[in-house]
Amino acid sequence: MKIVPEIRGISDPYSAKKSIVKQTINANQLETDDISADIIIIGTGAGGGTSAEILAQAGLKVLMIEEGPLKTTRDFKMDEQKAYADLYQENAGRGTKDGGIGILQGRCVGGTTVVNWTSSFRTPSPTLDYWQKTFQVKGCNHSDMVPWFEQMEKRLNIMPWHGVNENNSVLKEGCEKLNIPWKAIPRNVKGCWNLGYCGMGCPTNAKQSMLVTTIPDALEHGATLLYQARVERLLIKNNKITGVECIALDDKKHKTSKKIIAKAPYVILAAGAINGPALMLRSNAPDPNKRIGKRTFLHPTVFSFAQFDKEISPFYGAPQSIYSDHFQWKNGTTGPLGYKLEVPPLHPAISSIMLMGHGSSHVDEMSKLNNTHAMLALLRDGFDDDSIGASVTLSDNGSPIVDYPMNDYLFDGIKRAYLSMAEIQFAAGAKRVRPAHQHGEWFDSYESFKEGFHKLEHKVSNNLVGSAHVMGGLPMGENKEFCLVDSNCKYHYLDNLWVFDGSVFPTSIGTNPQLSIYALVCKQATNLVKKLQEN
Amino acid sequence: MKTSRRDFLKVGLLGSAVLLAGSSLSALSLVKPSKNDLQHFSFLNSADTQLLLALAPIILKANYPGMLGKEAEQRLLISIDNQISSLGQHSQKQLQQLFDLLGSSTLRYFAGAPTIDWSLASNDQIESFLEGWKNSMFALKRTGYAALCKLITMSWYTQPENFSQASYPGPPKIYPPQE
Repeated sequence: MKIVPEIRGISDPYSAKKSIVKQTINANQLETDDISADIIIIGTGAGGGTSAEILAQAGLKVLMIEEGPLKTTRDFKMDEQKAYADLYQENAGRGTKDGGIGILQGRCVGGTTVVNWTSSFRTPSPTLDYWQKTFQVKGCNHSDMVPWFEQMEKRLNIMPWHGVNENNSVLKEGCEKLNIPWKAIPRNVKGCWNLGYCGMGCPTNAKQSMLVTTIPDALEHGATLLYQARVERLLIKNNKITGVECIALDDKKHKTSKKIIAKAPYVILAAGAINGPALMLRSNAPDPNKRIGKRTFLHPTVFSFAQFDKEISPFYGAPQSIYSDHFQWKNGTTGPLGYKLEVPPLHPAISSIMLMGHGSSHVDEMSKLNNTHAMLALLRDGFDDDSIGASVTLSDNGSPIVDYPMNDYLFDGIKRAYLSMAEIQFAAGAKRVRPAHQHGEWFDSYESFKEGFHKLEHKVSNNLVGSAHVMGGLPMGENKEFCLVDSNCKYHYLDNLWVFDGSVFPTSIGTNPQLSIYALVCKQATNLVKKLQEN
Repeated sequence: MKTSRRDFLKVGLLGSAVLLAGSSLSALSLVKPSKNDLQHFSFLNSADTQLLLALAPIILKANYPGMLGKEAEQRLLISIDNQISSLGQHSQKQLQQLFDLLGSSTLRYFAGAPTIDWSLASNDQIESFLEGWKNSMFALKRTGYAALCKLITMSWYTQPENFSQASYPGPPKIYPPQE
């Protein structure tokens, strides 16, 4: 793989086009204290961006409200410190209540689509079938969804990627040696330079995130984008949202004294899992069965490191291009946890955390990063009775707390995942392999790994567990015992609120969720347009 | 938030460590931050900075202070302070409790940390504290250990001067986007 030494000649769509810039407003500079529209969309990630384009094209006056800043191509410097501060929730330091799971989630115009690693998968059929059977979700089986997957794949130029870097080749070669099926990952990119900095905002506009696709299109169709505006609460009267109360945030993310009330006959919540349910809790939204924020899923993810004699350069090249679902559905939909295998990119700061520990061994591992590969296993939570996920509650100031108790069911999946990853890494020629565990040592063969590995204790803060996929908390389905929105994603207990984002997933997906959100929201927003046009 | 940080000791994360001490909180003397140092940081007080600067050379070993030399301390602290200031309230409270616990010599005694001032503690004392917490049967200590390591290594390896310590050649050069 060729490493690109320099980037030139890229224009920033937000400074190049005056017609879209004039539709964007920093909440601090809004001259009035109220603003109105035909429809309000809270959040501008995969759900909000997709909705905005469809609704604006239908001629509705759309108002997008975003808590994060408007950062665009010229701000994307491929610098971890700046990217985490500008583009991530809690400076990339969000975590669960007991500190057991770290959560990477976007916080900017375009949401997580600005910082994800571009992997784009259709929702697996067993997941859709399970939703239909268990939660009585209607109209979302595989054949119902195919046209919507196709539409969004076309819109965002999603296709399998073949410029595989060394870090991903390890997964491919190891799988081949062991006769484990693998595939190329479809990515939402157009003219990708194969740089490897998807997680820090794409500096070449190649990633087809909401920031450079649906949001500018919605703005050209007359939508307004109000950014640095945190929605504090929904004002609710007689089962209707009568207003959306926002506070302007300054450039340091602090609340200002400026309060804005936004009004529209219809409201779409697309603030993502965790923040969306937290907003509903702050607003005292009707919830007779006390389900808001329950069943929040994270795809808990564990990692295994491997050192090679050859250079891996895990900093460069498309971060994810190979995957294996071999261990995903092996035991059926329920039963012991299944997992998907992929690889993460390894930039220094995030790697320093993933390697865990301190002192000379940590320093030595850091110095060998260029020859290091990492693999990840993304665990499919939420399908078995023993996997109820997290619950979101509020701290004193109304910010969310994510409580994800890690149980034996989860640790059983984690243990099997480490073994699968180590076996593949050794098969690919790794000299040494180490599970990302506080007490994980380097092993020089799969045999010694298996033996030494069994001595490790798996418990909170011993294992490195991360999440880049937040789902659930406002589940979809006609089964009101568990679900808060119906099969059209309209909130069961409010007349003018729809939830169009990953928080409606009743379980995790079993794969990177962006295309699942795009397609479901594309379907729901298109249906909503029809419904509104009939009225 | 700053004014009430001592109140957080009453509840939460390190509550069990405090219970272990078996004394009422009001009886414990806590390190008083010096006002001069506070102006630079929005979260860290002088006791916190003393702790972090004592831990950094043990956690980062030969990589510290590295190419940053005299700037290392300030760069590290600024970065850690920014990091913590962006966290949600719950995580900030947890860290406040952690720093408060480790800022009090009395509480340190019960928490298995050196009771001597952090700036005077020997390398062996600090190493044995870190290992003790890393291997603790209490999840709170293990999480505390992980949090301290994360804050320091994350803030260290985001500094471009330290990229070479991670065998990272750095990002491609970027020329300003054309208007």
